[in-house]
Amino acid sequence: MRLDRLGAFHQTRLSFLRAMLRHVSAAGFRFGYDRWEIGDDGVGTAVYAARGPDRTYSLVCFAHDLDPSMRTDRVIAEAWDATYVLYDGTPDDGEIERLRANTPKQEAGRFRHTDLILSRTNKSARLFDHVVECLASGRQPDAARLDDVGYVMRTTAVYGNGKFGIADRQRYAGRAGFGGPFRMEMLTVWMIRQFVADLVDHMARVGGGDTAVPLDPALRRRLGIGNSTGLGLGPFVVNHPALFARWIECRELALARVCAQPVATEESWAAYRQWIERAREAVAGWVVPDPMQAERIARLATDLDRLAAYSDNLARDDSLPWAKINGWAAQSLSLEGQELVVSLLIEPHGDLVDDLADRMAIDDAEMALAGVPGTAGDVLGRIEDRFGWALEPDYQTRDAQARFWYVSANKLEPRLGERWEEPGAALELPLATGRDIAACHADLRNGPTDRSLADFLLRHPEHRHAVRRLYDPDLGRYGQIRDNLIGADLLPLNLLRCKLAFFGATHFDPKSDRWLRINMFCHAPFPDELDTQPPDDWIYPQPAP
Amino acid sequence: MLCSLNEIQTLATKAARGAGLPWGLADEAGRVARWLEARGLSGLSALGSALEGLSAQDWRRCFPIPSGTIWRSEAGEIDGLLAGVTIADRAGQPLPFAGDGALTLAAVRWPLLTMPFLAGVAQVCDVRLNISLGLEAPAIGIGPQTIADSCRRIEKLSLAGSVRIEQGQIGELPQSLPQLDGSIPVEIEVYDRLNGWACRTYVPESAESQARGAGGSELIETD
Repeated sequence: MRLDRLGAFHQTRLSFLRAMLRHVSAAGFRFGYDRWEIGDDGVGTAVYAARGPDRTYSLVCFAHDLDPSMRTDRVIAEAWDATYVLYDGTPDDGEIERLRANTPKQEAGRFRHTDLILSRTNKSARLFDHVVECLASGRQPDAARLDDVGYVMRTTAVYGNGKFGIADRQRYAGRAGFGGPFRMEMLTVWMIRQFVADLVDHMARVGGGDTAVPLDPALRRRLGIGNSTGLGLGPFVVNHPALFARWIECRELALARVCAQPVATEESWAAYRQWIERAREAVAGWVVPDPMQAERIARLATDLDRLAAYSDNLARDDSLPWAKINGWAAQSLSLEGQELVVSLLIEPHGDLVDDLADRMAIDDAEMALAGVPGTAGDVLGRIEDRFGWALEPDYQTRDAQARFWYVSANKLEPRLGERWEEPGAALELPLATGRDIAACHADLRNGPTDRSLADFLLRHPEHRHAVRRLYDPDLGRYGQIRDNLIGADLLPLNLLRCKLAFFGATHFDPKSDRWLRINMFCHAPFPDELDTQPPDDWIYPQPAP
Repeated sequence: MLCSLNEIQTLATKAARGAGLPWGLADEAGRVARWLEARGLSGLSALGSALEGLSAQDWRRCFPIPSGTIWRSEAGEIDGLLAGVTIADRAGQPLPFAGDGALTLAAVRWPLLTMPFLAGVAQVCDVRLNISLGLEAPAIGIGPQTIADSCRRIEKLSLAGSVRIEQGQIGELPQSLPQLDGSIPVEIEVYDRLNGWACRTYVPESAESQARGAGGSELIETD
């Protein structure tokens, strides 16, 4: 599992936002307003309810009047255009007042276990006002202009799992449909998208009165929710190796199930061919200024042409057609192309793979499993057999340890520093997995191999985190990113892209080697459309006839 | 203030690291604090006090030396967290309290911090353990990931002259502490004390890091 491949992942049917949408649709959730108290100035409170078979979740929205000079996506921002809490149940007036006192402060507020998710959004200055002005004057905005940005607001953070006092994930992980990873976060973002669209219509009515028109539903679906993501997301997949291993394993399992099909059904073959066309259209619309990504996208477009041509020469009743396609892609296409083929092969096989989306979470044990088995010699053998990649770099060279991960005192967020040029390396986060395993290996070799691992750890407690990683019973085959995460050639963007692909993000738009913009739910139905639109047939929309 | 368990664990982990423990041990400290607080026991407070002691000396000397049936440390007092780590690492190996035997830890600082590890040993070895901290008081029962409410009397105990661990009768633990549902109350002084240690793990912004845009987001333009 190499970082450059992870950094070429695309969303799949198993991606978290798609799994969430399938669930709320299948479970018969009903959506509506409980409160709309937004003034003519666009400031106020709205509450949306998601009523499921067992529970109601409420998105409590606070819309603010933000001085444009204060609008920043940086994590140190102190004010936003709108702030949100996903609330467990239906908040009464007292609870709304409590949330009003805390939610606009975000990280500086305090929350409690009834508050499931905390988030905020900023307007796209390029698009929000433009869309409002168009609608206020009675005309629809130009579709191409909507597509150019893809959203009118973007989230700058979505916090879950206990941050700032909100509910721990374990509080709701046992609820039907919300055991999968990041489902509550995705529900929140999807409901925010509804609020943002309603706010646009509201502001158009304020500006245009009787002249104003609501945003056409088909145009509205072209708008997702944007997101700016920096290094804060990076360490997650390294710090949660067993969880990450499960994500990869489920994706691999889905691919393996598809590839094991002896022939393609008429229906799945037709759908696959159609998805290639839909992906071509989506890739044609994936335009980014970053030269390196633009080049990858250009190559991806060529890859899709070749995939279509290769598939033309296959028949659906050829033996193991999906395995053939996958094997050909692995030999013939770029990494972006190979990974998109994985998504396209999985896409028409919902019946075969969708159950895996509910198996992508793990329950973190409270305490690590007691007992470290075996001898120092056993660990040495294990490292050399299974972690040889960690021993390859020469960590004595400057380049092999060029970077260090740390938490910045100013922003309390993970950062990447240059070890030989910046202070702070003594406070390095334990993300240098390869180097630390190699250091453990060196001390194991220098001591007796017949002593117990417990005795080794008593003498060398500094290797405890490396040994825990070596012996994590849940890691399986996919728990280790086999790259040097502190090397001079590290491209941190790959870590971000991989996680965002699992979320279900599209339109990756790198802004540097360490932050990017993305889009979520672009083309998806809105909560108020679940009765009329299929919940999971939108990720690459049908090309216009 | 009200805290989530994840917040408690993160705070405790960072605090232990800030007090000088390596990441692997800091991770254990985080889990211990969470385990105790989830059962209404003041794990953060005990950890804060234990870290004061550990940071003021060579903490390596506060590990018990696992030899014979009475374990002592080089420092004279065993740290409760390090005692727990040392015992738990040996789960599945012959330990002095197997069968009819007993393990005695001599002079344990903050013995509350040892208890979650013993609950882990009870789980792996499928045994019940009885913990005695003196002749007069009844033993504290520990089962697989459970602890009896008699544990409350050692919540604030800063030093136990000895901690004796024996196997007890298998069976339901009487009056085991339930896991709390909802936000966990934490005294602000306790939070601040731990946070003081945690802040030592943060790197102040330097001119170099600012110039590089270490997080990337410094370069974000709104649009």
